[in-house]
Amino acid sequence: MADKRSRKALIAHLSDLDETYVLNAVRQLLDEGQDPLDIIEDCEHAMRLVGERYEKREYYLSALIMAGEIFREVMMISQPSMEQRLSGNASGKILLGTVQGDIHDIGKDIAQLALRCYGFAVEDLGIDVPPQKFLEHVQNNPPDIIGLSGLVTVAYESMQETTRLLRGHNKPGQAAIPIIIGGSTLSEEICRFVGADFWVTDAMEGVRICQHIVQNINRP
Amino acid sequence: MSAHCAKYKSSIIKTRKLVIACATVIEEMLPLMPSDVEHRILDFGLHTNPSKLRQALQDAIDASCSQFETIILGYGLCSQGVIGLHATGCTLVVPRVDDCIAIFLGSSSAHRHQSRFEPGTYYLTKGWIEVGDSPFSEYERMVASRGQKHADRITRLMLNNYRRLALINTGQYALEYYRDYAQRTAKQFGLKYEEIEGSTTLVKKMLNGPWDDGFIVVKPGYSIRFEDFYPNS
Repeated sequence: MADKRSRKALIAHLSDLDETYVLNAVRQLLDEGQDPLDIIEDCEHAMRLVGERYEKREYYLSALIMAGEIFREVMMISQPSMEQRLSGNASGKILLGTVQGDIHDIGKDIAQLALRCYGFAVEDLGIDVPPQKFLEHVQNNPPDIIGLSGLVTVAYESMQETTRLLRGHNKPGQAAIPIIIGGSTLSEEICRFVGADFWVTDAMEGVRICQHIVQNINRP
Repeated sequence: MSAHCAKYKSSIIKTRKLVIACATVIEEMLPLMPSDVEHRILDFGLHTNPSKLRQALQDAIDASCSQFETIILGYGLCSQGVIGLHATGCTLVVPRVDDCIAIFLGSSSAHRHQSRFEPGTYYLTKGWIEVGDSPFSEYERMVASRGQKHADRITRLMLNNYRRLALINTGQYALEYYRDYAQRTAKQFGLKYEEIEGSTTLVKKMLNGPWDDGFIVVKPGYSIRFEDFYPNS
């Protein structure tokens, strides 16, 4: 486990958006053999601090974007070490996409990278994905989990439409593929409206739910 | 005598309407505001934090509802910032729309039409330009604080997948200055510039009624619910 001081410094510098320090520190920690999962957890902690500073209006939107970009770079750097640790079969297969009518993909892309870091195989359909396209991919290459991403309000109805279409084509007697909706404005009420199984507002929360789902699928 | 006057005065006030609106929406409402309708303006910055927006709206409602018969909210669902709002002594009226873009375009269906036509659209109005809270105004701040290279990089990320910058012309004000700003901005950031015809239909209905299916009308003692925005689901 990484030295407490260097982990604290990593969190502080990421919450200060000090990209150069963070990326150098991550490379050094990995070279020293530190667990990449610890590094990602620390970055997740720092991302929460950035969110708090944004809520206090200490930061503008650009700071959230910058923090997300640093986090993305950290995951890119950490991915080879993660793959070494997780050699073997993928943890599970995830079908991911930003729903029709929405073009935002920063959160989705971070989720995709985080899922890959944790050993999941991810098929990303991109942005503005029509419900029918999700269905075609589910039918051709059934995933373990479907992730619908969206930021703007118009996405809620698209998520609902997609969920209804997928549920409507569920084969009798076959368990429905779990659907997770993800986006920073989502809530329990929206999840109920959409008819999804889970909702998340950050990428790492999504990874944990996927791990939980896959563990249950694989349980004898 | 003075007690009688006070009672008489309060019964007159109670029949009146109050508008509580976001700084951007009020720009479109003020030119059409009847003289007997009062208004309060809330900070535009609240839209980035729905729980703070909800608290600010509830505080504004609580401070005024005893004096007015109806409070009209110049908001839409706005990241659920209006969910849970309630008034004990007056009726709340809120347009059944996603956000202010639909208010500027005149209806929820007009907003949906535009979203389907080009989902990657950044909308601007006079109010949005003047409050200066957009990736474009943030670009200037970033250039000043961290230099152009950084500002270019972050703005590219913020505008990723956006293709169109649309200025909504509601016909409520002289457009030249805002058109010039929007055209320059679109060119600077590689977006296609378009001017979209807005409409005052929804604003007029907000102020004068009728509060038909396009509105959520919440009686005293009830709360605005998420499902009120989707009555057919």
